[in-house]
Amino acid sequence: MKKIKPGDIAVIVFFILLAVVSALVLWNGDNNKKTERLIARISINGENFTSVDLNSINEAYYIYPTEGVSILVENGRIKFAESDCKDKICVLKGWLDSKGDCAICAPNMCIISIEGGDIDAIAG
Amino acid sequence: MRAKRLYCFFLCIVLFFCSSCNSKSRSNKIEKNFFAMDTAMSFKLYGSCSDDDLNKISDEIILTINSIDKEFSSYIENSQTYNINHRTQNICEISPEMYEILAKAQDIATLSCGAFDYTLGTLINLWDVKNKTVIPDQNLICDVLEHTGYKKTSVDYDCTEEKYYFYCSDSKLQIDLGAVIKGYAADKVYQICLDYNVYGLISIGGNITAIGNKENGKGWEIGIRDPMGTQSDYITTITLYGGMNTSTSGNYERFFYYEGVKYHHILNRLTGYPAKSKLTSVTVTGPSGVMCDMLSTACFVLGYEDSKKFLENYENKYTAVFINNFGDVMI
Repeated sequence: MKKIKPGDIAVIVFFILLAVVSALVLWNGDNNKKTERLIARISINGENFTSVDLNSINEAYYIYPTEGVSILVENGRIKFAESDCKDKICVLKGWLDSKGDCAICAPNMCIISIEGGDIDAIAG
Repeated sequence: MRAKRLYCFFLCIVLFFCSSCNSKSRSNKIEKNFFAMDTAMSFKLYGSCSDDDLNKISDEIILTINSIDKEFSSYIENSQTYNINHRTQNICEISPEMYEILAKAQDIATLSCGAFDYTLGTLINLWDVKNKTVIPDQNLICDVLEHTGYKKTSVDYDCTEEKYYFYCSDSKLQIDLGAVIKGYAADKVYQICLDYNVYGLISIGGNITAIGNKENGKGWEIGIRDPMGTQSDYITTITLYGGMNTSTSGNYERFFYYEGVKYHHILNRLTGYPAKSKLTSVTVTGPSGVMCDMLSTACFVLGYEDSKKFLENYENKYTAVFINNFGDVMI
């Protein structure tokens, strides 16, 4: 078994870099027409209730996904505004404004989670 | 030995790129924006067929939409709707397609207690919201209202003659299928796409139909237009899976202001005036385009609370997103 020489490593590194750069170029080429969005998903009892594009909010508004729960949406962020649950953990969680953020109101089985997303069309 | 290993490594990289290129080129794409039925339409379709075939499918879609318009528009002479509105007797023969549309329209009109009513032709012409800037005289509205009402009409199939008929007891009553035809066209286009095994999204004047899911198996993310914003602003999103449609009825596209009051194009037969339901838009999602189209109009007229009860008739097959006058989103 021969030892790997510096030249071999250089060739391997070159091809790995080539693969990574090409993959990035291909990936961007496929997605450059789409707009990156921050999407907040609201679900009730495990069912998708609605999704809100947090990047396109001009004026703050409320969503009432179920009785006793109100969710406030502003540009770039979302939170449980009010809940009739006992401990109010969901309300105390405050604003969610980054991909991966989430808040749960267990008594009302309501979940808000944020994910990045693309929009494919506009209805209306 | 080293040369062999390097060769293998190089081969792996080449194979990796070949497979990436293959997966990307598996689907060809066609995108069209065009104007038909007095509204903007567009579609983007993907398929494993050639570009020529996609062009042929695209031509067939546009041709189908134009022929539906020609057949059902109130304003095109000798269309089926035109012939019904210019009938000389209280009965006239109609096509099986018109029968299918009117039977569904009759059902929804009945279930919604007239919130959706396809017999408002004379009232719609009187208001002519697209071209006028003053409200009609109250007496004229009352006169015209007398010649509306879905209860005065019915459709029937004569199995001995194998013919379809439209009956109307009021000779001055006129039908208008403006809240039906775009959804009907969406269903026809959907069928064409299924026949050719292509997938994508179709937008017919804001009514959107998903043909299959995305290539990654996920649904399409659809933004619901912000009634206070521009055409590219949206207030919330929904995920539309293959075979599902959305239809939006809103008061922000066709309207005029008269003495500081906004008058829009969605009319309420009970009052003869534009519906005042405290809503700015209703988006209905469900498996049939024509149903979504009619239901969104019905829900807009009914308002939020009554729409919730009304939609219970459809056992969760049709759901709606409401935006009220304050911009609140309600489900």
